[in-house]
Amino acid sequence: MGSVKEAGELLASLNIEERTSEYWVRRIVNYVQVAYPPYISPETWRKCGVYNPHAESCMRHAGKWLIARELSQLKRAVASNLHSFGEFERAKTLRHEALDINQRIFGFESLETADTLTELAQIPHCNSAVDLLNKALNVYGTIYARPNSSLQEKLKVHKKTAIALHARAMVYSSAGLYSEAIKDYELALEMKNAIIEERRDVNITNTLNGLAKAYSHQGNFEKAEELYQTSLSRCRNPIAEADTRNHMGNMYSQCHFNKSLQQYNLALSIYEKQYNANHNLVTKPLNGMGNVYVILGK
Amino acid sequence: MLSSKNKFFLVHTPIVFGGQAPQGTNCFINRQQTSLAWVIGRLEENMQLLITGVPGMGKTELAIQVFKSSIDKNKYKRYFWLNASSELSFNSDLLQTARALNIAHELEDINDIRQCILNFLRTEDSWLMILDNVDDFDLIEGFRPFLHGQRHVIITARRSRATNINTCCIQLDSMQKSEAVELLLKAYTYSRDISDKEPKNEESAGLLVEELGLHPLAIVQAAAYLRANQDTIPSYVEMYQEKKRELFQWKPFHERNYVPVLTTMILSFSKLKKDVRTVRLFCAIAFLSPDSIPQPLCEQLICDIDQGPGESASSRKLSLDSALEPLFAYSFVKRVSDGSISIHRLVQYAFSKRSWAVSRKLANC
Repeated sequence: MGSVKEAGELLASLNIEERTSEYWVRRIVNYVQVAYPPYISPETWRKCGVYNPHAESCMRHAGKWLIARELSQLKRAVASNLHSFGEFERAKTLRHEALDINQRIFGFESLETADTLTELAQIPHCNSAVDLLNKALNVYGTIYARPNSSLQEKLKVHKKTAIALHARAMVYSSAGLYSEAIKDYELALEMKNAIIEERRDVNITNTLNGLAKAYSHQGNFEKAEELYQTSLSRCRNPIAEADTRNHMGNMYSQCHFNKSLQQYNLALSIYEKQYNANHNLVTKPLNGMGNVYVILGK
Repeated sequence: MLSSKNKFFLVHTPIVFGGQAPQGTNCFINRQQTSLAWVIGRLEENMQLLITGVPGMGKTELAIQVFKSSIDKNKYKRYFWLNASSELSFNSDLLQTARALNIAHELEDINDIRQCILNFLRTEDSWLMILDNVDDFDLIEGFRPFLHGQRHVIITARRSRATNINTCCIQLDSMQKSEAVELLLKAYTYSRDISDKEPKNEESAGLLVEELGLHPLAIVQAAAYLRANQDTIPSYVEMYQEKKRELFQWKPFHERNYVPVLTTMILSFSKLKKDVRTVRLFCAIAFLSPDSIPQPLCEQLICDIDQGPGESASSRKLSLDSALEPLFAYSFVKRVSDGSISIHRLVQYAFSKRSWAVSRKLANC
């Protein structure tokens, strides 16, 4: 027995609690969660890359035994990163695991649970997306209506509701249910406009573009054009402008070929300026232009 | 003012795309059967090499040496180091590569990004790519750059079976005794002023390296212990044999390759245990990915361990350095060029497998 003690004595100087692997896994999950960027953007993206292997290692060690808020947050953050580069199956698994943890810790009617439901519904081809978003919207509604919520909390819930509505509109739109999509997009837009002064992180242009696209699918090009022009006036960066112009190119490609080519060219020049000629975003307007030239017989 | 040597270094140091290339050892031994020149020759001949072997045999080290030598000679125009030990690591490195080359939008499908990189590599005629620690060959299945002329790839992997990669394979086994002795003495005397004056006891060194199964990682760890404690080789051999017997009494090992590393680690642990901060830091690091543990994360760990606010960056760094010093001394961790820390995956594995198991057993006694 003495030899066993001696062999394991590296840990002997630690206190009883510290001699378990579970103790260190808990702590490591906390550290990595704090360090991991909570949202994905070009600025945080490199940091995500640095921390991804460590997050993966933490999650593997935590297995299914650790039920902690920090672990759920870490899983959601990594899932967002995976989602952003198309690793949808893994993102879905992580979001399911995070949902399970959140439901156990915070219950079904909590912001954490509703947020995870919204994220889960945004996985492409999710069969139950509308159900998940309806559940999330119900929870947001309940929390918003609580009399003891502060103004800041209400603003937060307001923004989350707009995001969930936008997500539901996208699901409807991809299913060809444009009237339902338009209702949700308009509501989301109204909510975003109401809080834009207080919350500068709200993305207005993606909702305007989604709404314009739904109208154009319904054949209401006049309304769609007006919305795209509004979107252009509210773009905060060149890439958002290029995306909007690319959408406009797509819309015009149905009948106004010269206008379509003009918008594609503008989008192309912005993409080329921001990136280089080999960049995959450059192919979007190029493909669109190619299709127009095919229609024109050129 | 910069010396001319430093100026040259600044001008000619190329950008390495992908992840952080690990730091090579200062004690690299050019093995007879797999010398650096021979490996480079095979690479030029075949354009793709697969280096295999059990953990701790020096696969990554050999790849680093080829990488470094190519950079020193300015042989290629571009260099890529991709950590393929897991899907997440590999994809992260691919994304970093695509972003650094400015060829893909970061919020795009990973398959598109892979294709963008492959397309880019087709347009470039001079590059070297390392795919390190490929445990699962499915991961790189769809990532086969078109090789031609000066487009070269080195893959390091534990095993060559279960792969349909039709390439030149270099199997790294235990060292030859003379090489092992050279490694031990080189690692032992490294950074010691007395190296030239001290008699090199090659006979006892030969005995020790044989005891260590001619295993390179175990030899480096034994040398680190000897260096840190100014101990003699015969005394270490005695301790090693005793400890190895004890380990066998406790639990027979199925994974025989780990025995030398585990035994050398336990001997070093007995010295490390006095520094509780270091032990705590080591415990925490054991659960992170072994490569490129970011310095800010380590600083956060040590601040928490010290239970102090760690107000200034310099005080945090000093505190971290003092906790890391014994881990560097016993060759448990290495510092990477960007300041991050790396731990050999076999050391991490052996620690996790052994320490917690013993701790659990003791708790149940």
